Amino acid sequence: MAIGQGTAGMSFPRRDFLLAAAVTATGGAIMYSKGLAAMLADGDHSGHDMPMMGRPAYVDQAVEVFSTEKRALVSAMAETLLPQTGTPGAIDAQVPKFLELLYDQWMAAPEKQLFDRGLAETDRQAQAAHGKVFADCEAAEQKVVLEKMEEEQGDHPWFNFGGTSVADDQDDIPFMALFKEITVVGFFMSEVGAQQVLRYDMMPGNFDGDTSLGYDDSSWASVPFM
Amino acid sequence: MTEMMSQASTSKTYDAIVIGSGMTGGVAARELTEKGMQVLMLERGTALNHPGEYVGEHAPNWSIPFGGLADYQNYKKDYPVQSKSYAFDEATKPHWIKDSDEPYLQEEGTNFEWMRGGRVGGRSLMWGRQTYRWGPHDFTANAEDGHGVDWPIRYEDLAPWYSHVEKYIGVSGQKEGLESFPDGEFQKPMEMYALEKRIKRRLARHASDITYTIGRSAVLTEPLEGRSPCHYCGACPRGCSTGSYFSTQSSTLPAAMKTGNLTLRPESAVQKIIYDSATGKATGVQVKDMKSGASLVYKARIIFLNASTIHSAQILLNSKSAAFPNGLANSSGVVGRYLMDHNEHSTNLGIFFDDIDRYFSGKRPNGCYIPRFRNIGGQDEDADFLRGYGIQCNVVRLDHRFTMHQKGIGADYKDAIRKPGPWVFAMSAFGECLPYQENKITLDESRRDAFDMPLVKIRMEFGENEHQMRKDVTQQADRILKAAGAVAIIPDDGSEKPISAIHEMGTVRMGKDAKTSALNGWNQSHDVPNLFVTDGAAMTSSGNVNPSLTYMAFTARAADYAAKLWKKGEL
Ligand SMILES: Cc1cc2nc3c(=O)[nH]c(=O)nc-3n(C[C@H](O)[C@H](O)[C@H](O)COP(=O)(O)OP(=O)(O)OC[C@H]3O[C@@H](n4cnc5c(N)ncnc54)[C@H](O)[C@@H]3O)c2cc1C
Repeated sequence: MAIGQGTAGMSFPRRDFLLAAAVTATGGAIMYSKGLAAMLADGDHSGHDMPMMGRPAYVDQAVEVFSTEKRALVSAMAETLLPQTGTPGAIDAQVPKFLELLYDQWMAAPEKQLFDRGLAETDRQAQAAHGKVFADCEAAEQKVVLEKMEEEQGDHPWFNFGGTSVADDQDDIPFMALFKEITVVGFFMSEVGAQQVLRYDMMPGNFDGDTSLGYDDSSWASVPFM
Repeated sequence: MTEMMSQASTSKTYDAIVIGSGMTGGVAARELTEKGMQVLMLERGTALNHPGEYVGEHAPNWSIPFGGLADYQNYKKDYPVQSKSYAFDEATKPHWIKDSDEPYLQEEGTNFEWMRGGRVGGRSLMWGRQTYRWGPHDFTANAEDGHGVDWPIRYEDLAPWYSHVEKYIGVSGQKEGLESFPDGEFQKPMEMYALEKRIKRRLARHASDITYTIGRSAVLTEPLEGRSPCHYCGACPRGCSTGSYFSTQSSTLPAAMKTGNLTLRPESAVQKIIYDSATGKATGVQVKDMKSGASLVYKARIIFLNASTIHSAQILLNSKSAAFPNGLANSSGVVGRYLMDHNEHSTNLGIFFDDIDRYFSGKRPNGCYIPRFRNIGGQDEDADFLRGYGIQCNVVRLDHRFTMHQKGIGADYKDAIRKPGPWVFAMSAFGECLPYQENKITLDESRRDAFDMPLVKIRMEFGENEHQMRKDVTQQADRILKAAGAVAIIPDDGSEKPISAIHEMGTVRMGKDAKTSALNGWNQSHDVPNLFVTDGAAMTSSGNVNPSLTYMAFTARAADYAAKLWKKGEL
């Protein structure tokens, strides 16, 4: 486990978190708990969108668009990219479900085709090299298959330092770029990835720009608009 | 706030109507109601209840749809422009307009990104909160180099109003004692990162002409009017129920409501300002009720137009009458013209090896700032451009969002991207843009948007001065990054970009002469004395600092002037 402090391994019950949010803000009158907390408590959001804070995790919804074989393949691929090590891996963080949801709700037809072609290619390469579908290969064999695919596809600006997002730039995106980006995002944005692999603190209360960082410490889970 | 307001009345004559509830409309409403005037605020966007109704506020990462990935299919259809903003995502989306409801046209070959707010509060909900005063040189620049007409006022006229507004919006910052970069009424400054302190020390030694200061930000570090200091959650544009950053919703609207003199009417799209040629004054406004579709007329003695730079010009151009065939308050013909936006086309990055073992806790919603250092007190000998720029600086510790693009599969890759990458120092310049007559908005009468307004057509392009300035930024940034200790520098690539600083201003400019300007030194129409335009439209030149504080100071000053005339019965 490589977590520095605080939230390591702890999961956030959403209601407790609300209370925590109301008291952590430093000083002054806290108006916070009155508005949003009251709305959540009432359970009445008529005319309003349910605040995201009161919603279940994105992956906590049913989705059934992959066949059993496809699900096994996607799971094996995600886990190969981000395996369980000392910390949870892609399957622990429900990344395969995240990918199925993206396939269902987020990808346009060309990205779906790219994704499907990539999956087929993965199995084809696994068959050629190891005589089995990807999901049935050993972990070491799986790694070699994805590494080879990445080498074959790697000449694209996505792989530049700080590269672009597949969501902004869909032209000529290689499958491995799409696959890596959505797997990494699904992993680090998940409840498990954010709290048990990265560090997560939604309500820091203050700012300290000079804390120490150990060699093995993880980043904070990201929040946009710094 | 909507529950406690009185119903708007079409039979009553209000003391004032404020058009728009954004940053400047909020200030106008607060100032006028606190002076005892009965005010009707009309906002075409939908109501929003503060605190509490911020859909994305404090959303845990895992509840955000699509893991926060851009929902590109939807954005292409409904938000092709708004979605390009750094502050647009699934958690802030409710604050923005839908481009598909109100598209705009552009002159062939030009590319201006028009970002807009769709709720009560306008863009004060998702603004970047950087808050700076203009310097004295900004008000004399036009007179000195002859671009644009002379400002009808000087820094000293506005200085007390800067103080007045700063005290209630709440600005944290560090005094620097520079004449060209005036200090304000500050709450205590935010802390710097270790690397920022190091950079500051190095610049003092190796580039001593450069001032490097913590960003002056409308985010509280001390309590103010029932608002709490920042809790450093880091995602301001999602909305803030503790009111820790300034917005109409956190500050000016509650204050105006408290007087009992404000009536707020959301979903009310102003179509026209009505003019009475017998009295020579505006008598009220025509509104489309977005719920019922009904056309309504509201009356008032004074009109404050605060619909934002381009929309305010749109409303005036649409308010045609026999007396004003080219649009209200437009006998000069300048309405819609001299559109400006800041030149933010040079971003330069430096990578640092320092402070690999230093980190942070809390997400500081603010950066550092390098105030203008070019062409101060006269033209620099080596500068082949007029005026200048300031630089917004951010140190960022890279994380998996930037490092995931490396090659690799498996445990080693996972471990590499889980840990912080190097520190990066990003410098984004915001430069002055000269007022050009050709940069303008016009109306296309043949097409209407969802609010029943003729579509706006925009022509906005930078000129030679802005291009030269951009080159200078890149050269100077190189010098500054070296002095700061960067080990690698990634300079601006010089590529074509859309104009998108979200600091558009200057379509209804102030001036001394009614033939070449639309407003006098009190933001009052030369043609229609009870009409005031106090948003960015009034700007005669663009300066280089983020403009909203200046719009707000002008608004407070104009409101004070209008209220005095109202008390004397002159309006
Ligand atoms: C992402 C982002 C970052 C920014 N960062 C900064 C910054 O750091 N510092 C800074 O100084 N500025 C910043 N700005 C710019 C700042 O938000 C604007 O300068 C400011 O909001 C302008 O105030 P305003 O009152 O003129 O317009 P707005 O705040 O846009 O409000 C105008 C209001 O008028 C309403 N309206 C328009 N037409 C009509 C009509 N016909 N009838 C009725 N109502 C109408 C609109 O719906 C809107 O609510 C930023 C903006 C954005 C979007």
